[in-house]
Amino acid sequence: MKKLSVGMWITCIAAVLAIIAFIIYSVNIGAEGYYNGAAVSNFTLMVLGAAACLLCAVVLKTMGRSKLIEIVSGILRIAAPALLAWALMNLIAARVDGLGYIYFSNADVAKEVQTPANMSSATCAIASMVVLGVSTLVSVIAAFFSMHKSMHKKRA
Amino acid sequence: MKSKKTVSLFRGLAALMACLFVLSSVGQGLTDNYRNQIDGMLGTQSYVTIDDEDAARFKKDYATIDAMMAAAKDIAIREGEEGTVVMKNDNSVLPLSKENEVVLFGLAAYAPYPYASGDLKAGNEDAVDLVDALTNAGVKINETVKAFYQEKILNKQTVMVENRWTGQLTPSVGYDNIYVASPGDMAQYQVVEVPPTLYEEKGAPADWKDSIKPGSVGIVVFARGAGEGNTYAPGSALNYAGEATGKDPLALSEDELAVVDVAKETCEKVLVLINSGNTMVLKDIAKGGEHEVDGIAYIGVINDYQCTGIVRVLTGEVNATGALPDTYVADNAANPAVVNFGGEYYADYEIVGTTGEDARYPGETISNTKASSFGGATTYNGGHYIVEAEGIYVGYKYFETRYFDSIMNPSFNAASAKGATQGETWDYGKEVLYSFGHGLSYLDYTQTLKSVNVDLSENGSITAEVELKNLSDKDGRFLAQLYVQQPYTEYDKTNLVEKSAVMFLTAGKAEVKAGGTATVKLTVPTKYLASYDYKQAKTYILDDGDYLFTAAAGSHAAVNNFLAKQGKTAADGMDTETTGEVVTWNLAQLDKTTFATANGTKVTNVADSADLNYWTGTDTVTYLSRQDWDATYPVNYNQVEIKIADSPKKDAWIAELRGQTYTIRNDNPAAEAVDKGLRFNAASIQEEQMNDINDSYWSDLVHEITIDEAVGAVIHGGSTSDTLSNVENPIVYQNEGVSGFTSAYTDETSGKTYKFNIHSQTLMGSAFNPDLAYEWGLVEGNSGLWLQRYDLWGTGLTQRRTPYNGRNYEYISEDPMLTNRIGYGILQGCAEKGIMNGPKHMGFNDQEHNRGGVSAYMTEQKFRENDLRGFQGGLSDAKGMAVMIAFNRIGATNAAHHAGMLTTMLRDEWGYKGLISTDMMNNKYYFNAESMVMSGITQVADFAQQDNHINQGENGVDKTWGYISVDAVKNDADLVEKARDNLKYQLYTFANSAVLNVRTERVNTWWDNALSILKTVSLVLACLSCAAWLAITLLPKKKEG
Repeated sequence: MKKLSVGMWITCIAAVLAIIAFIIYSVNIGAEGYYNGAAVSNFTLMVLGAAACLLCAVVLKTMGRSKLIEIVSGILRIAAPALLAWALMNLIAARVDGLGYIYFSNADVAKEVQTPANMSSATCAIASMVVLGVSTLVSVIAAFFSMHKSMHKKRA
Repeated sequence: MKSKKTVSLFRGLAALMACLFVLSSVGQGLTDNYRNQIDGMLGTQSYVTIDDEDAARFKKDYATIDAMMAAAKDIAIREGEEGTVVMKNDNSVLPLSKENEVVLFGLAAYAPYPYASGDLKAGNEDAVDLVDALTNAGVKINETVKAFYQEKILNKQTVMVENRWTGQLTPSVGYDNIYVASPGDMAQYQVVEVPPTLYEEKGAPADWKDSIKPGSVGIVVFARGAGEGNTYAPGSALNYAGEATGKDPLALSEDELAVVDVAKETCEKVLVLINSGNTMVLKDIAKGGEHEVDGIAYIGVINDYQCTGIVRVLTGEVNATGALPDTYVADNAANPAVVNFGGEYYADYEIVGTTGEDARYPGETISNTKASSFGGATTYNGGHYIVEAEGIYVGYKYFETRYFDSIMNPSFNAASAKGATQGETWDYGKEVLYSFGHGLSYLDYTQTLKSVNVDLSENGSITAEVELKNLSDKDGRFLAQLYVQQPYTEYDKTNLVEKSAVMFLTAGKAEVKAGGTATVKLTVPTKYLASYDYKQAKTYILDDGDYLFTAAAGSHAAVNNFLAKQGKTAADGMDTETTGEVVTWNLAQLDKTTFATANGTKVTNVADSADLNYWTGTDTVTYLSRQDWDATYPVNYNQVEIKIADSPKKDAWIAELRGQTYTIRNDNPAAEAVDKGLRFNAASIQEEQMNDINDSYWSDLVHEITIDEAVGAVIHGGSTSDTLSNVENPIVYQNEGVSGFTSAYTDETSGKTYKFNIHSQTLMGSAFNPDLAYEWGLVEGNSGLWLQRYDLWGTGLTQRRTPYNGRNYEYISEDPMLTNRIGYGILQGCAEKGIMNGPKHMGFNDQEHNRGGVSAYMTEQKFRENDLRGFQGGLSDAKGMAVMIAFNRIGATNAAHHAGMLTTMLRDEWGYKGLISTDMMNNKYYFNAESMVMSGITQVADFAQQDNHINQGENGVDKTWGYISVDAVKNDADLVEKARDNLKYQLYTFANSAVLNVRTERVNTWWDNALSILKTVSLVLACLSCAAWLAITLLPKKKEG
């Protein structure tokens, strides 16, 4: 197996992180608790779309170095962070009311609101946001790296 | 190599900038939704108000903020003075002598409820508690007992409470030992009172009893907590040690009685103060009780300054004029309403749930289980029900009517064993400790009804003159109470029209010189004399016969006056001889017409489906009827098998329990908006528009609102009423709470903070004084003008159906008419200052337990004459401007879906023109958007801002109710027009409020500007980087070497 470049590695990590964020999100809306059934508009499309963009970019790079591949791969690597950022903001927008409700309800009602299921649900929601945020950041960093291995280094 | 690095650099920059562009673009919308909170955190100001006080329609009555605060304090102190009720006063325990020491026992003596500031307690720096008030009044307090209570047992401290999210520590009041302030949701309730056997262990000196001087008066204070989402559970009490006792949590515990005993052992006389909004069980300390004390006084739930007034009563500085707003009984189980309380599931409640077949939520599994009071579950929450089988017989109406019948109508079986808790047969004297309206005066006086005039017309009034005669040698203030007995006829018996043997109408107070007299003129609308006949006439009726009026010190004294008038004496079983004057007004014929029309609307049944029998198709429920107390005494209908599947109306019942009160049509296209250039501003809205909601301006204005925004503004209406695109109405913030505006005013010059939420609902109720309520309304309204806040959820008018509701402290009384008159005063005062004061929670918020879905079944007579009558005075007679609807269902119908209540009755019959809000919209499966629009709701309380559209979700659908969209509603003209009509009422109310006193304008904060710059710059840089990357990528590569 050929060694992958740093750019490819980072891109792959970003894609994997996006998929992990999606899994956490799916678990969150499937599990008992406050966010049970609380799907976020277009979230699946955006996150899996972004992950697909990143993975496609990697695959394309392994197929050659034509200008078309360069451009298509580049567009995918620019689009992916934007999609992830969009998904992140949508997720935050959909979750912030609930998090405020769970964590900041006054003392009279806190006992009612902060059930183990709701607390677990809130923690899971935060985890999905954090992982998605990291994935966004990593995908941006990845775009700064070439996915080609350095020829000089190879010759040496 | 250089070229490759440049390509990567520009690609990376393009990705980074695209990312920043997305973040800033979406972030702008997100931050706009939470503008208030962000402003609060960053100290920025997104809105500026432009006011011109000279041109204002509603003007402040106070020139300075200090004068404003002084007026508010004055009312609070008077609530203490007029609301303190002397229930028992033997051995001259009251008024307190300043010569002798008082010894304070009980945790609440040193930390009266509520001890922490919040919704119920303002927390001004100069707040006065009981110890402060006694000290200020010159009353000597035993320092030894005070020291060990304060320093050893309570040990007040500042505790740092960790926020579970941020980890931030915030200071709060804490004690080593304190009563439980929140009873929870039908949970076990620990009565935390340190028993005297533990005093020394807790740090009291061994010889503490020796410090108590002869002649000392022991004052023992007991409290019970309360709160939103809280409901007491009968039999749930735990003692101080945490052991279950099986006792009623509202009864005095063994630990509390031990404190009473030690007070009796060490002091010459003992006075117990009741510091609670929930009616407590005082049998043990009342007359004949095993722990009988000399005196008992009710002090309600205090706020910052009420203790000053309370102590003025205790010391006799002012006469005691308070009266009990509830009946105190030997056992709460004696209340027939308690038989059906809390709620349980229908036998087959699961059939209401769906596994994907609800067309609104295809593929979704929606259960029908109950949810917490704060929502958060995927459920219709239509599984639980209660049957309010007691009918109109709540509180004194039950006890006094049964007493009356036990003497006057032996065939009614009043002495039956049913409902008896104190013996084999029912005995008023054993069941009731202190009746509604009871309150002892220090100064001897009489109240005599001199005349009654009844104007029998739709808008007529009853006018009564009551002479107050001061028989003492001191000037003083006195209370007059007006009661009536309506005839109970054969027609009533046949048609199950229930009549209480005594009904409170109104009350008033006057100052009377020593030995002198004064006349109090009392008026109340005649319509309240009518009864609702839901079976035969299906409207309000006035029976033929004698209507007996009397002035009396409480409901029991009044009913005794009626018995005496009808020739009864102690020999017939009356518990006292009486000579109270009774004035008779006779109606020759049954009147089915005078009140069959109201505001041009025919008054007829609107709540047939509230009756469980409507659904079961049989006489499943027997509602309590005085014609046979034995045969009709309620059973617990949660122990009767009720199967939805057995109903002849099964499908309709299931649909209602699923919240499908209304179904959107698709065959009646609605007209899209036409912008005629009209706008909501002072220039367009002149006197004629303000006075007439039918002026064409209003209709034209709301037809400028798009379909998207008309429906969106209603179903996303709270907690801020947003600006509508073609209307340009100002933003109106909603404010809490029942004790007054919780927002504080900070004087820019002095930096001093003033909190005006210093009112007490409980003491206002026991003050029995609609004039004081009006004065508070004016002060509350003035405080709104100072705060520049005009929309307030500023009182609670739900009937206290049972003692167990955790929000009884927010309400006034068990009696609808006392509530009605207090609500009338408060809302009238606020309306005169242009403040939209919305009472909570109209429509039978009888318990907090499962409030977001429990079905309360009842007859239409109860529907109209009980809880709703409490709201009628403020909303109809006083032309109130706002109301919040209850969470629960009326019958199977969500109260916020109930068009019969909200449109037919409230709007049409009552002539109400104000805004109508839901309570917290926390369950989209229970609160149905289209049904709320069609019922007449003007704003659904969803708490977001700038979200008055139905196209903000995925693919242009509504963000909460995904099946709602412009496409989904544009072919339902009824729905769209109703939404516009609802907004018409809301905008009309804004125009008639102080909202037009000031203009609010949005300004950009630094973070608005930063986001805008970031958005623009990132977009430009993204495009440039992208172009550069493309250009370099497409350029031919330089040949190496």
